Amino acid sequence: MKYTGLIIITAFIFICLFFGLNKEDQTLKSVFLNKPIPEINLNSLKNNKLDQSDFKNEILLVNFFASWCLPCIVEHDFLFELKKQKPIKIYGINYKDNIKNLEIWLEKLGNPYSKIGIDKTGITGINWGVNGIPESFLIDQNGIIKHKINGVINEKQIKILLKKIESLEK
Amino acid sequence: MKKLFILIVLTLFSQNVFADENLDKKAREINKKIRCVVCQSQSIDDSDSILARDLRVLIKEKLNEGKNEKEITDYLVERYGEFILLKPRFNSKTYFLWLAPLIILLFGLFLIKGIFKKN
Repeated sequence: MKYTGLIIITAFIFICLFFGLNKEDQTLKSVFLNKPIPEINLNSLKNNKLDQSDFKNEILLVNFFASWCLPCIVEHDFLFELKKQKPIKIYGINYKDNIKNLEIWLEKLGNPYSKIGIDKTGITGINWGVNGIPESFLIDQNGIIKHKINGVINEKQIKILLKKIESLEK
Repeated sequence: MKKLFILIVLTLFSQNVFADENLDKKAREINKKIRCVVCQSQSIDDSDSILARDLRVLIKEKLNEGKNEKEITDYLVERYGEFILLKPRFNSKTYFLWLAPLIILLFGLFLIKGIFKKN
């Protein structure tokens, strides 16, 4: 009975640690969640522009990738799979890459992107709070970021994305 | 006349060098306070990751544009959240973080006092 207080506090700390460290989602949430998309004004691969005006009236996925990024190769097939299951527009943002390598990469693996913005310096990545590629953002019809995926889009992420897209369409 | 010209050129040149050195020093001071978000508890000053390098360049550019430390850190916090600061700010979200050691210390003292009193 003498040490009841101490036992309670210790138990409380252990319970906090147990739940805190066992959380399934250990990734950092984007500060942009439920906020409008950050600044974007890029030249696109086919001499067009990718800017704010491209983010209107439809649900989109923005995918930061590069030809030098190995996980992006793994992700590439899943982007096609996502499009097969739900034909949404995917904008690619090519992060600090070599254009020639990018073109070869797309020729080899195919191009799931409706538009590809070229972020040569990485400043768009910083403006979007990108930690490392691949990273993807789901944008709603009003240009609001609704979901962020840190890392590769895989089967599990596709299921989550499809659910999110479905709820946005309602 | 020639000597005077060389003296003026050297003075101007050395001023630029010192200005650059000051800017570098200031940039490094800021870099040390910014977390490399893709590393394990490293500042961007210590890290060689691509993002850390980009952020170092960005900070130098912002200083060149005449931005001060607060404006630069605000810019980064807007994009990466407070996590990017190695030393979190004292605000409503971090009160507990900052005050927890004091609360635990007070609780410990209170507990010790209680034990001594009983004995």
